[in-house]
Amino acid sequence: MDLPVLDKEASLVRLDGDTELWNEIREIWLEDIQNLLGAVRTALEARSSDGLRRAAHAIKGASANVGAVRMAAVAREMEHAAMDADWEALGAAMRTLSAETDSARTALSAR
Amino acid sequence: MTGFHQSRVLVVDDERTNLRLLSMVLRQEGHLVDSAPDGPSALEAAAANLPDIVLLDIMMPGMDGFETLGRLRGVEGCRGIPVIFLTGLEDLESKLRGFAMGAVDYVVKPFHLEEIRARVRIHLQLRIAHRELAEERGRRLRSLGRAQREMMIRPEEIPDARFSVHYRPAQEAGGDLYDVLPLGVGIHGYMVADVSGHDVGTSLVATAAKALLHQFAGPIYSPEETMRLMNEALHGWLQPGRFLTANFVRLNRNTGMVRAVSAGHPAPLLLEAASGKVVPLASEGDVLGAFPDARFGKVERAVRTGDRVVIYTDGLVEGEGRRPGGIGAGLEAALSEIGACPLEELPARLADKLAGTSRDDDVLVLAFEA
Repeated sequence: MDLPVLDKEASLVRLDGDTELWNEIREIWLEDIQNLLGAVRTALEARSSDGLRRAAHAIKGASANVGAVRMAAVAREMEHAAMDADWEALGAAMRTLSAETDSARTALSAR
Repeated sequence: MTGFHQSRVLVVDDERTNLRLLSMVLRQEGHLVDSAPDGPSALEAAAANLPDIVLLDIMMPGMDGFETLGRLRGVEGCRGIPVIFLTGLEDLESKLRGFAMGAVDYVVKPFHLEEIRARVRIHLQLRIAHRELAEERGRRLRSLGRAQREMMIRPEEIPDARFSVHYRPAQEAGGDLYDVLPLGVGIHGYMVADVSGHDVGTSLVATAAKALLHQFAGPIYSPEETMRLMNEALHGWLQPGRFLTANFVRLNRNTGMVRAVSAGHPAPLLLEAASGKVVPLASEGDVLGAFPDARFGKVERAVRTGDRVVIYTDGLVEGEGRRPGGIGAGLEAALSEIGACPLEELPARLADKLAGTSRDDDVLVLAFEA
């Protein structure tokens, strides 16, 4: 995947260069991501296509806002795969998403 | 008031960073911001504080954005509030469905704050423009009402006719009208009419009716002929379902004869000065403008100096039980009681006594003295 783990600059452009605001949503992301990821995992185990789509959608939104673009892209793919209920692909995507979450968390915690 | 109006924005999104971003940017813009994390809280917030605009996420767990929008339209006062949907870039179907449901715009996620500001600003401006347009229409109706009242003759302009009048329109441009005009030396015609409906068209019909009255009233026409000619003209011109009820009374002070013609209108009342008796100049009759060959009721009788005639529209007697013949019993009693007061006070006092403070219908009372 060519996308960077974190594109803070792109995020800041959308936020009028307001780093304080970016910091705020970064903190919210760090607080929430474990729960959001948990919701994805639960939906996957329950084979709930709808639940998975929504949980992935939430991760996509939160990650896009903070500039965690790779994470957002993986979540977006999961959201689409959930619509097709392709459980094999979703299992693999879940592992990717976990790994990306770790990278993004590391990148965002460093700031 | 501080001289400027602060707009209230309701932001609905289940995603916390979205809610935070939107609230922040809109507060910075000087708006009041209410935020809700789901549909049900959004409906509660809207009912508690009516928003000027709503930013609404489509994909939310439980009640989604579409359902929330549908229910929001049912919240009192929220029918016309602009709603901007928050949606993903690729989600064309949702956008189309949102527009079909009456959303005015959408903003693509992830948000660009500048775009949020611009779209909210433009839709708030549009809303204000819409409101001003509606107010402008109201102003036009009011000026039409003013023109209408200015066209109504005042007692001091024609003292020989010895009349006084009380007119209180229920709406800006009312459907009641009156006119008083000389028909010859010592002869005057008095008309009161009520146009069906309450809209701008009503006022136009009222204006037209007066023009026709002036055309067809005069020494060479009897009051019945005046009404018949008016009916013919109106019948060819009025839209189906529109009509007038009217009384036209001619008083000849030379001969002491009063002649009243009724077109589906409550009967004029005659108050005899000597006996204090109230006599309905009862006459039925078809309404004006609805039938090509309408027939009108007519009554003629002798009057003496000091006798008074009261004509009125049904706003005066509405709500009270009417006796057969269309005469308000309460009006007869009221006229017996206060009919001898100064002529210029009589119409207003009758209106106060009978119509009270009800604003449902136009109230028009005209009294004249032989």
